[in-house]
Amino acid sequence: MSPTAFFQQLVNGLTLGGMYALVALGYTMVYGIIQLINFAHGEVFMVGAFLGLLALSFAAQLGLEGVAFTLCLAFLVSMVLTSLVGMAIEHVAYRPLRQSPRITLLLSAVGMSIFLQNLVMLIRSRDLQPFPRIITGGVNIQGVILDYIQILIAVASLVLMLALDLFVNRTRLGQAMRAIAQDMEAAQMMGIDISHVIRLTFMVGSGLAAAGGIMSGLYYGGIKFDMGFIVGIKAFSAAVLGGIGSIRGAMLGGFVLGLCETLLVAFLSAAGVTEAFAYKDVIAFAILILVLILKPSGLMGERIVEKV
Amino acid sequence: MNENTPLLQIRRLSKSFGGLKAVDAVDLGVQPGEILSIIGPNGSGKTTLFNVISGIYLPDEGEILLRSPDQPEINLVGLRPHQVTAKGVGRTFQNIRLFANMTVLENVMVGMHCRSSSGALGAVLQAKSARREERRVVQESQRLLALFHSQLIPVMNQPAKALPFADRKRLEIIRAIASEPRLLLLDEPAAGMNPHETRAFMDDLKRLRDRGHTLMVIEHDMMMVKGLSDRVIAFDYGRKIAEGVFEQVRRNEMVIEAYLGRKHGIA
Amino acid sequence: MDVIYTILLVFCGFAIIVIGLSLQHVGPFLVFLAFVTAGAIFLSRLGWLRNFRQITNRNPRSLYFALALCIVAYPFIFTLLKSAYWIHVAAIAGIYACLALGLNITVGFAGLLDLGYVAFYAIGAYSSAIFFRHYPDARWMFWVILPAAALLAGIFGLLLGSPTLRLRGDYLAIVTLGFGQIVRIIATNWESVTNGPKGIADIPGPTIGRYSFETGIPVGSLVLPRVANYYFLIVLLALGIGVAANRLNHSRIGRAWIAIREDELAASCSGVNVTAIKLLAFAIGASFAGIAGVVYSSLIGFVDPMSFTFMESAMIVCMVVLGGMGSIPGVIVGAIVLAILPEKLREFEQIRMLLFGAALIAMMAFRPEGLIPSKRREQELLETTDE
Repeated sequence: MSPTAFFQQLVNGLTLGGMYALVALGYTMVYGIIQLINFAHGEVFMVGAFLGLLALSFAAQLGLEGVAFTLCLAFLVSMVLTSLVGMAIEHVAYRPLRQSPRITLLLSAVGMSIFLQNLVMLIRSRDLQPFPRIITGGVNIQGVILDYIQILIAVASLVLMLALDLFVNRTRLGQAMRAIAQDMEAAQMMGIDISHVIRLTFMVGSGLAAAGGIMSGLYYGGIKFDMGFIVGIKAFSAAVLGGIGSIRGAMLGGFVLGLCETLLVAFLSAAGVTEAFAYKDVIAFAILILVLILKPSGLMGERIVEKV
Repeated sequence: MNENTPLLQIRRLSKSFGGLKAVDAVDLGVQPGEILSIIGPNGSGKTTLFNVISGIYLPDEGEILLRSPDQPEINLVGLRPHQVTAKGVGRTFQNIRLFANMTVLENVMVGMHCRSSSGALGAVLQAKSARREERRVVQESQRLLALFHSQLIPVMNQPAKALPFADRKRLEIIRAIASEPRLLLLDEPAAGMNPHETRAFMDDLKRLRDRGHTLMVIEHDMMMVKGLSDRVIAFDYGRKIAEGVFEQVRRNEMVIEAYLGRKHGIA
Repeated sequence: MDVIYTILLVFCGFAIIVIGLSLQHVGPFLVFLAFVTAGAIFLSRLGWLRNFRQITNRNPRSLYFALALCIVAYPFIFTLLKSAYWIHVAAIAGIYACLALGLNITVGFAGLLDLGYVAFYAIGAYSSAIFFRHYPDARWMFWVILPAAALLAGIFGLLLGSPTLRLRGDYLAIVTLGFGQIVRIIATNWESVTNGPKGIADIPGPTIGRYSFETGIPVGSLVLPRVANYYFLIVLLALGIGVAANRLNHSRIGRAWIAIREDELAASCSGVNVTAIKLLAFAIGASFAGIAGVVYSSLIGFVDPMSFTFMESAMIVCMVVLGGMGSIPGVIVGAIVLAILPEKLREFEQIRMLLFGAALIAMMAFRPEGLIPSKRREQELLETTDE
């Protein structure tokens, strides 16, 4: 592979990684706070993309102009609405079961995931929905093409992650989140409203996933009701890779996974493995299994010791 | 190997969590047939010591040697909990951990898991050996249920969570006994019992020793420690600070300071 | 007297099922379904259902006798009614019962959530499809492939379980989810072996000596359709798997599974090798799916990757949950109900999975122990943990 091709793939991988990271954050935040894999999170990503599409077509109907303006509007509307969806999910599927055995919660989450997928399919369509490619063009830096959309994804995801990092580490609510993740009972005794913070965690995670969903739509030019499924598994793998429960870990894991996937496929294709692209989804899974075997605590996670 | 070889010999055992040394270079020996009590203020590393011995935590350093009938010594370090149990070390937990929805009898039968061997195939085919073993396990479990008193027999098909507190404690010990341990680790067996129950329980524990089990007991109730122990070891900040018969340890200045220096008094 | 009651009760239930199935239009069927449901609720309010259960529990022999009679009579009745289709549906329901029984070992007994269970089903189905693609005439080999596929699926279960089962249960759920996808992706893309998305067609049915499963069964003047062969085979397999599951449940291994589900650490300290016992549950569950897959491929004569999507896994999970995790009669009933209802309610095909999703959430909130709960599981799920 030529250096130009390599750098091109590097850029593509980082773009993909940014999207994975945004979704991975939702998994890791919820896991950190209530030790639950939110199976419906991939669907939240999908719902975010569809709400973004809705906002964009609404803006077009109203005759709103200016790419930057409509795009900001779409992100804002979708992120706010999706965070409400996240809140609703928590309220319906998880809150009533907080005292129940673990498997009950997992099954409820699976039910929610199936429900959302089919709901969107029924309301909208079974087929791929075209997503307006409102950002086109790019810059050519010595043969490496940087699409504007890629720059947007990189910048937007970094801004969102920075904002999240500040929120978690610098605000009172963020402090409350970290306290609950450490020790729920103690946090409760310190007067933290657990339910409120859990709700908020779901909302923030869902909002970020929505941003990822819109980016995915803009990047690939189409969205589908079952798009959240594979992305969900991959983003979860990214969260585990980074160390589940660790916010910075999820960011790192997302980028590492995006890079691994893109570069491996590129290398294999260059080496003459023609089916490499068809098997790209297998790579994330292989990484997940490898991490679980070699270092289950992930790149940045702490060792979890069961209290006896 | 002479009579004075300890059943369990711990050498320079350490375990820390982050910067906290929960068990700090501890040496101790347990003689066969004795009841050894471990005392010390809360957080002095007693339960961690048990968890390290039973294979739940891996120690940072040190060795745990168990004398064994067929081979000279086994180092328990690095074995997983079920392997430690198979080697002959059983335990109970500070806050009872029964299989709450299994029946009383089934709890004991699970305890015999490592002393039985039927596999899935035997069960599916109802092989003769499997059925024979199942009968043996049921009979032996019922016999064990009558170990302390006969009140567990009539309720043996009730779920374990339906038992009164003291009987749940007894059941947990019986479950541990079912694995035929030579050394039994009891973590605060009398916690939560009233004085009357404690006295009855003390006799039960002595009966265990008479049955040939060696006991290592973490206990806070000094009446119990006094009445039960052959020997007492006191812990503070993960270190062994005193060792001897109850009266010796009670008078030890470091022990008095460990307790009085904080909140407890010693009887 | 009880004996007669038991037999009558079973026959009444059977008659209701037959009438329900022979109602051809969706309107009357819905009315009928509403009546039956209302009747069942009414009887349970009166406490009669419990009485029925006590009576049948006291007479297991007559219960089994009556059930066997109904099961044998079923294909004859529908041959007479000239609707062989419902024999086919019953055969499919039987395959789902095998799958649900297998998944119940993993989910119900050992408490491990497997969301890619359909992968093992696919491994079984493709084993047989790929073999017969190359040796279409060695039809008797079906009887060799059946256990071989069970073994193969079990080995895949071990391979997948060994890195994951040491960790918390949640990881297993998502790893199995991923594995289900991987198997499907491989089946879609490995064209030289699996024929890709087009799938493998013309999988022949088995033979026993001269007897072929592709011909009808003549009984007197009546000829049972081809599918009746499969119906009886599947009934026998489901019976075998059900008995095996029941025996496991009441064995040393079954106790260890439940102990792990209840308190993993305590089980470990009681001498149970937690990882090995979990792996065993996982592998046994997988091997049952392998068996179901082989039979499925012969019954349908065709396999393609689209038969093994996540929704299929989710469906089997629903069957186990609806019937009652850990309850053997429960999951069989769950499988039969969820396999037959969509056939009767084709008009609602579109919203089927939506309803399943909603039902799963509702079940977890209001009746996590399922319709026919296992005794032990009921206690466990109804208690609110006070930790």
